Amino acid sequence: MDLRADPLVRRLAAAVRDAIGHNPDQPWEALRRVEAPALEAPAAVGGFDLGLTCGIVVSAELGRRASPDVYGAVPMAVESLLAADGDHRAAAALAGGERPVVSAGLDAAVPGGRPAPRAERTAAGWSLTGAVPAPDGAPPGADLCVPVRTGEGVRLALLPAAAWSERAAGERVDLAGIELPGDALGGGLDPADQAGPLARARVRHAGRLLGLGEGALGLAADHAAARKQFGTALLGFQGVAFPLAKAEIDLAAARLMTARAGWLADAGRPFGTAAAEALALAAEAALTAVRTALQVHGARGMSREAEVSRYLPAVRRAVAHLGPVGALWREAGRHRLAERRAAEAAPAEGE
Amino acid sequence: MRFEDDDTERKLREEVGRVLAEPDVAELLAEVRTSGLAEPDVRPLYRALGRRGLLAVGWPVRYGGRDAGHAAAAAVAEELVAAGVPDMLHVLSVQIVGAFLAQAGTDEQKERHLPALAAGERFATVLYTEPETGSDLAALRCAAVRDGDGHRLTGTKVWGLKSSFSDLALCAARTSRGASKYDGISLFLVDLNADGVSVGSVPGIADEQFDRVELDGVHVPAADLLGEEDEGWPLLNRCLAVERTGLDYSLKARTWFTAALAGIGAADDALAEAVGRRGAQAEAARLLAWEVISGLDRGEADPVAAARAKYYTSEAAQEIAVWAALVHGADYGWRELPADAARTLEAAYREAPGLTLSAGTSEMMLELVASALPGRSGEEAAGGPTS
Repeated sequence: MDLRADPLVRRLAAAVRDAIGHNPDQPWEALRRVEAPALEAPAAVGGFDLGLTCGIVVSAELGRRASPDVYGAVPMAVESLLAADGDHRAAAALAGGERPVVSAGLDAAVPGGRPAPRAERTAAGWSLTGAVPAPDGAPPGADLCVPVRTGEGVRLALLPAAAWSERAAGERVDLAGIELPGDALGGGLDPADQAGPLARARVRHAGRLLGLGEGALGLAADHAAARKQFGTALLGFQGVAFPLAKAEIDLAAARLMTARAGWLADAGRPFGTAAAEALALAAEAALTAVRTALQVHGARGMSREAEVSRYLPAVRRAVAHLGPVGALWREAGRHRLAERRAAEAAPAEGE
Repeated sequence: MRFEDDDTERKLREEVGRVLAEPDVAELLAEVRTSGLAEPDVRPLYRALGRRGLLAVGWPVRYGGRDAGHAAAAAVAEELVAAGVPDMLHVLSVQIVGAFLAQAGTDEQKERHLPALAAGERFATVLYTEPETGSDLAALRCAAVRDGDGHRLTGTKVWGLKSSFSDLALCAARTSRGASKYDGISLFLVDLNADGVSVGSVPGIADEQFDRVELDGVHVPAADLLGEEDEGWPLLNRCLAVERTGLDYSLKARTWFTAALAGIGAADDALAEAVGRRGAQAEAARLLAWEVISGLDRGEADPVAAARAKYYTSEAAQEIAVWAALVHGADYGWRELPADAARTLEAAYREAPGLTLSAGTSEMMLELVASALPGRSGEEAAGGPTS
């Protein structure tokens, strides 16, 4: 193995970071400027086909600034539409950054998540019922991806802005009565599909969580180095320094696991378990890092003026975005046990 | 990044498999594994591996290696441990003392010592810690007094391992008192068979017993001073980063996790969740170790990455050993655990407390990582999320 840093990845991260600049709350135009929507998309729809590894980078940089996730739904919708042989023009428009797309309620696609909205076939296409949480920080004119239960399992539905934006009330989007054309539904979001859009979304989203954790940790470390109490910088107290160091180490571990899952996916190898483990590790590491960062900031961290305060609500949403972390661990654990049984059985079969 | 073996690593793993299947090597390995001894003598097995050039593949050819690099050496170490070859003497002799010599020794010292270590003809250990000196190594008292063209060393070294199986030791001693306690420390290669050396042990809870080595006016010739006199401290710190890849701890984590799974059939939700966590922990430990190893191959020994890896790998291995006891019971009899897995886990539980102490305590590692934290705001973390 060679786990040396990839210079191209570093340059991409720097470009995205620079583009976001001083406008972390509205990052869509920044992503368009660096052509981020096209990074993962296949050439057939005008994309650069650069793989999930690049998606992790973009997601992480958005997370680092606690920016709304205006990236993850783009490749997911493109992949899902193409998997279902759905609307290629819509996929090309998304990859071209012609309009933004966000997602909501994806946890409905996994065990332990919320009940999925339903899509019933009609003569003209699909009719939806149910509701999803309102997406966070959706740019104006954004399409919305939601999982919907059909007779063929849970699939991804792509809702044009006109179909959903008027229906967002408070924290929910009521989907009842929305009618969609037949090709508006993407492929299945089966958690058992170890290489499908959901598995890829897990890896990308692990990147977002890492970014959230690293962003909060960076703010906390700088604060702890500058702020003095009892005549000493906070970082000089082990009670402050050690939790920060532990958080940094856990983020580093999750970073490598996430990079590995992305690499496996890009190399065409099985990556389902790696994706589940990366997301679970990243979620827990990010949550701990953000909580630690708030603690280190003291009461001032809870003021809305404090940059670090933005990470607390962001990490809560991000941790739950793709379902319960415990379900990920159970899935990974059962897979490892099955692998072990298969390995034990293999010599016996060969005898 | 590349999360798979290159050709060299893959071929070496295959070669290790072939060598371990050769009758004489297989017999030696079986003897070690079935000896019933807490601390079997692995030297005959190592010699067999050394004769086949597998103990130090990362070293230059002229010193008994194959010039294959750190990653290749790590691949070999992984295969040996996976096959049940005990690694402690290899870690001490080749991965620590040998690597130190390769970095800091003179050409003459390398010529004199490295080929024998690579061949498994001679073995080496370290003599750093003392009864009153733990993490604060610079407070050591072992004295080295000039005597002719060499020095005479007097002092007591404790908590080392494998001295009774070793021929020489890398020893830290004080040659002078400077303005700072970090001045005046020198490093020596001590012949453990020399007059004045007595090797005893401190009975402990782990299978591998701690050493107590008394040095009573032991003569060390000038040729066995490593680096410049009085300037051992920076050398020691530089070379500790090489020691702290975390590879050996990550291998323990993986071995113990695999052993724990052997007795688990159907798993309820709680157990499946715990298996998932521990499996990922063992996997992440391996990656952190390989991140350091990858850096070494480009000539960059990053002490912070090394501290991170040492902390995570040793804590992970310890947690897995303790978890296995909780899952399988104090006598490892709650499930259908094979006898060899039960023995492995029982020994692991007793060994585990030492992992977060040896080669730098977890607390020292956290100090190192914390010291590098400031200045990260707005920047990517070390390496970035996908580096």
